[in-house]
Amino acid sequence: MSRALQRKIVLMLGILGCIVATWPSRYWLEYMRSPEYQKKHPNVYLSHATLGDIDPTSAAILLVLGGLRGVAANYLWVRAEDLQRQHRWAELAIEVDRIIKLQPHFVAVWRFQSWNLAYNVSAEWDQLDDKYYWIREGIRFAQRGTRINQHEETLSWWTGWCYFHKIGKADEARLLREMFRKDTEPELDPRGRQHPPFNPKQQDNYEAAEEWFRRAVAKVDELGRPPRQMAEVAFRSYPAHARIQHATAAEADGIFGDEAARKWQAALDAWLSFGRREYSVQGGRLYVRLDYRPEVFGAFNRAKIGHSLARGALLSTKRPEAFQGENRAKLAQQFKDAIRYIADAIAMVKPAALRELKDGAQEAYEAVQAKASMLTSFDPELLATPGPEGDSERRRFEEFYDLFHEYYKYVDEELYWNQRYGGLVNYNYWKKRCVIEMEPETLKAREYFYTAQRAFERGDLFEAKDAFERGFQLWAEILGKDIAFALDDQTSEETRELIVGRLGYQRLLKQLDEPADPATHPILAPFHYMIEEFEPPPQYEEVMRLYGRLQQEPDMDPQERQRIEKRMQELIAAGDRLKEKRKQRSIELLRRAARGEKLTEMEIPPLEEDEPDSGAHEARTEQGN
Amino acid sequence: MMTNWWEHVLSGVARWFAVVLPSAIAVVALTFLVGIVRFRSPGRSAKWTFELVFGLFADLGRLSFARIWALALHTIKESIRRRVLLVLVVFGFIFLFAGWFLDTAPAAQVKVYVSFVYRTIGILLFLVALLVACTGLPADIQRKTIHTVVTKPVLRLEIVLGRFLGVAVLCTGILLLMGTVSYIYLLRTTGLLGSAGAIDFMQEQIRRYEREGNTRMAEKARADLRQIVNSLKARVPLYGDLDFIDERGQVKEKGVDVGFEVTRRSFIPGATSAYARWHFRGVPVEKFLAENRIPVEFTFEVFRTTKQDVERGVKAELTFRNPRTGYYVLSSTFYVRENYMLRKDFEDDPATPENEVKALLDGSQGELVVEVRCLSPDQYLGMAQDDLYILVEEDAGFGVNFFKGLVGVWLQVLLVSALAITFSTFLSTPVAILATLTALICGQFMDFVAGVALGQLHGGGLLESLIRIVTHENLLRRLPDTPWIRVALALDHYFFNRILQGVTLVLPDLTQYSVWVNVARGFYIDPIVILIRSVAAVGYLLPFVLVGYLMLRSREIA
Repeated sequence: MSRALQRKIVLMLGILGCIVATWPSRYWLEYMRSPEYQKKHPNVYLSHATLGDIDPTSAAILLVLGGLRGVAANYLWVRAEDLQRQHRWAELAIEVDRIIKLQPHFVAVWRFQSWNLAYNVSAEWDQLDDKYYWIREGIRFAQRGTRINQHEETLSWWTGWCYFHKIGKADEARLLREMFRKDTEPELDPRGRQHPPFNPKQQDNYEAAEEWFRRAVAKVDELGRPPRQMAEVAFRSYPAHARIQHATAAEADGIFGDEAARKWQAALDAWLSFGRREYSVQGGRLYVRLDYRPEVFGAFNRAKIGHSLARGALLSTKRPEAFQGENRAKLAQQFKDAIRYIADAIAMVKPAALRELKDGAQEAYEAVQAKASMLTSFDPELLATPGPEGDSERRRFEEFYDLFHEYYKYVDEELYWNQRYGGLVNYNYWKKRCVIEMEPETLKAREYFYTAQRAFERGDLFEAKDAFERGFQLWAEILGKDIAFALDDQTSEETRELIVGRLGYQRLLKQLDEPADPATHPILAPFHYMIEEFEPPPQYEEVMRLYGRLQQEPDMDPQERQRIEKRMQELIAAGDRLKEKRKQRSIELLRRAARGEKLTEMEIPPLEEDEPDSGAHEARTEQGN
Repeated sequence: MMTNWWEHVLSGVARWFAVVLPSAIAVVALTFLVGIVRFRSPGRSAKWTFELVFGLFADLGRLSFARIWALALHTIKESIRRRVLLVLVVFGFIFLFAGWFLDTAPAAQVKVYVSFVYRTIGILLFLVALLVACTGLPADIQRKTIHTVVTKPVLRLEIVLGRFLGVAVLCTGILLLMGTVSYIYLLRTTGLLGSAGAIDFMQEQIRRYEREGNTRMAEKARADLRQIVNSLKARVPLYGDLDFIDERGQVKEKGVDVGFEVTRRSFIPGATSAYARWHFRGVPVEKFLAENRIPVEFTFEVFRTTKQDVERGVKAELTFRNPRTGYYVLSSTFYVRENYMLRKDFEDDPATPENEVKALLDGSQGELVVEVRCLSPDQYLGMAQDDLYILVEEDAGFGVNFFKGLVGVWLQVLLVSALAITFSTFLSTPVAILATLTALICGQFMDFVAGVALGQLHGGGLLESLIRIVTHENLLRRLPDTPWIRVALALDHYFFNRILQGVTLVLPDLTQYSVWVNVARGFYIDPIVILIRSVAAVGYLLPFVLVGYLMLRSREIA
């Protein structure tokens, strides 16, 4: 054997040896990617392999490009934007793919381009199947991103959001959802590779959305840190939201009765389990829930009422007039109520309730509980008596109040954050919504509305009208039972759509050439306040006219200007008063419906107009002078 | 067919003389000046210059092909010894892994593959040409091996020509090899040769959708398949002149601008009397009469102002009109599938006994008008001149067309090699490579260079853009009116832009030779276009070679 050949063989063996030696490193990388390792070293994401799956192409390109990656990526970005301007979509998709090969762990890029494909590019195509194709490309793109970036949750959330919003909330939602549900077969591409089906589990888009939202939530749990980009409470509400939308969409597809009720039940379960979770406030200083168990909430609520009554009563004793005449009886009653509520609040507290509160609440509670027997010794009449006799009793009460206040501070902080976080996701509304939607009357009302709109679409106007009237009768009864729910913006918005929307009742009436004035129409009157954007008080028009005049005549006489401004204020106030009247009348009508009156047989009290002309008359006389 | 192609050639030749003659005079004058500096005597300089120029003409008469060929063979051997053919390995590797980089929407698949094939061949050949052409002469000169050549009875012009021929033959060989492999590769990926390919897979996909009863997706897959098949043809289009008639019946050059950033297409409003009108001349009447149909293909863009009917889309209608006799026929209405190539064949209605094709074409003298109307109210339909054409021939053969596209690449490579050799006669290897690369990049972005040279681009010329970059100023705002900036702008305008203008005249616009763009889109390449490009290429090659000769001659090699 020649020396050269020997050398070659040795070199080959050396290379082979090096390759074999890299084998164990795979296990090391696997370990580095494992949750245990990442928990121990939360910020160590040094190599691509620890971040997620490696795309071999991407890795090869990065190696070849070396330090030129930034330049190349920049160039590709410029090109991608240019292609988008020129509406060259297919080439754009390829360009985006190349960018992602250069910047595989730049999550914002994944998200931006996924959004670009699913939202912008799809919007540029006119045919629905083309739109659907690009939405799917966008979603697939984000899903690929989740595999390559396993250390973060935003892409999973975003994938869920595309299912939720881009498919579920589009104008073409009905068809897009149907296409998605049917998209269950594997697909061949022009290169003969079989791609897994887009929707292998035959899900609805909202089910898919829920799955991905849950994945995002699970990822956050695994990483043990709050989500990026979004408040934690909002972030965790999405799986439940997807359930709620799933139930809503089922009704839009014509599914009612038991099946719809089951879907609403599932939505409620999801919503409650979301609400019963503990959320950390201000970096773990305090933990709150959106939803406490009834007895816990009862104890907190009574403490709150009792505290505010006692505080109010004690404050008013500082003013002498509180002891005079009727006021004294009122004061005594207030003390009595305060004592009752506080006694209840203390009695109802169980260890479970104390565990909800911040550390230290236990001691404060025990201190006040030890003195709880005092409560029975207070005489409300004596507390409301002026003079030194009353003063000594009040001092005793104040001592107790101070103890109670020490405990209440914990409750107050808890409730403050509970309401703040609950408001963020409109927690109580959605909870109530799920409950109400499950009721047989609500399901029936929804079915009537569905029948009515389908009939309207077909052109069976009388059938539509009949179904609408039955539906609104039930709807008024439901809303009348729960005025707070009726006044919620979300309820108003959805009801408004049923009245003034494309297939709305008011439109139907207009087509039938029947009166459709909500001020006098028996079916519309109970919902009058909900459609006021479409029926603004007449005074507002005059205000707009006057405002236009002020704008057009900048060098108007200052006195005249003042007069007009005053007149505008009066008109606005009158308009607001009219709006309020409409609202009050609607509430009254809804309540009457809830008591079993038929809308069509009800007498509609007229809206007393606020003499809209009196001001105008004044202005005219002034001008005459 | 390109009409009056000889006019193009004539005007091109005239322009060529307009550039080359003054340049030649300038070169002679420059040589004279160099001579003065060198010999410090105008007399000797004049003699030297005369010898150079006269020598050229003398050499031209004494050229021997045998000697040139020998030099060319030498160049080829030298290149092979330098393992230039390794490029074929690189080529093979790229094709092995191409699929990784080319995921795309099905409709664009073939288009993307064809473009990819041409781009790869182009880039690899540029690389070969650069390396071979730029290293040969400078290495010879540096190692003094050139002396063994120039001491033989070999003309300087022959050295330059031999080098060029060698590079050209080498590149041609590699090109043919790569071209053939690529062609087979394309046929195989699409399923036209041997194993199942894109067409088969798409058909299977359609069958699958149909089995599932998913008519919507089946329809889309069918549309995608049509695009794939179309890309594998060489369709011969006949283009017409487009104008727009607005609602008041006024003829306009452009339709409505819907506010897109790129305004290539302009729009007609739906359900109004506005329409777009293509006027075709030179329609092959005999052929269409024999076939009894007139095929038309088109791509339109839709701009919606309301959502309206999202399920079916926007409706349009074609009208065929004989401008001579005024006879017209409405074709059926159809829904526009945006961004797809659609096709309508104007045929006889079987329900009526009349021969409509004949009635339409009678007395047309090869003229035909096609009108497009949008029927959906509140929606707009967008189009550009080349968005609708009459299909003169369905398929003139993809294979021939593919190799015609390669001719364009070949011309590009020849130009680059000639440039590289010219540079290598007076520059060292690295500098020659850099210079050629610069010319190559300029040639690929000639539109941009010309835009800068003529001051048509936002952001201004060399100094102005530099100032904008340094001061973080955007492209559109006027720079402050200070004396220094005025000086900079004047320098841009009167000096740098002039140089750039010279560059645009002297350097070839390489994008002009990328005729393969049409192959990718499935259109026939007119041989006349190839002819015109070849003439232009010769126009560039001649001066390059001559300058190379002069430079080599002026160096004191032997």
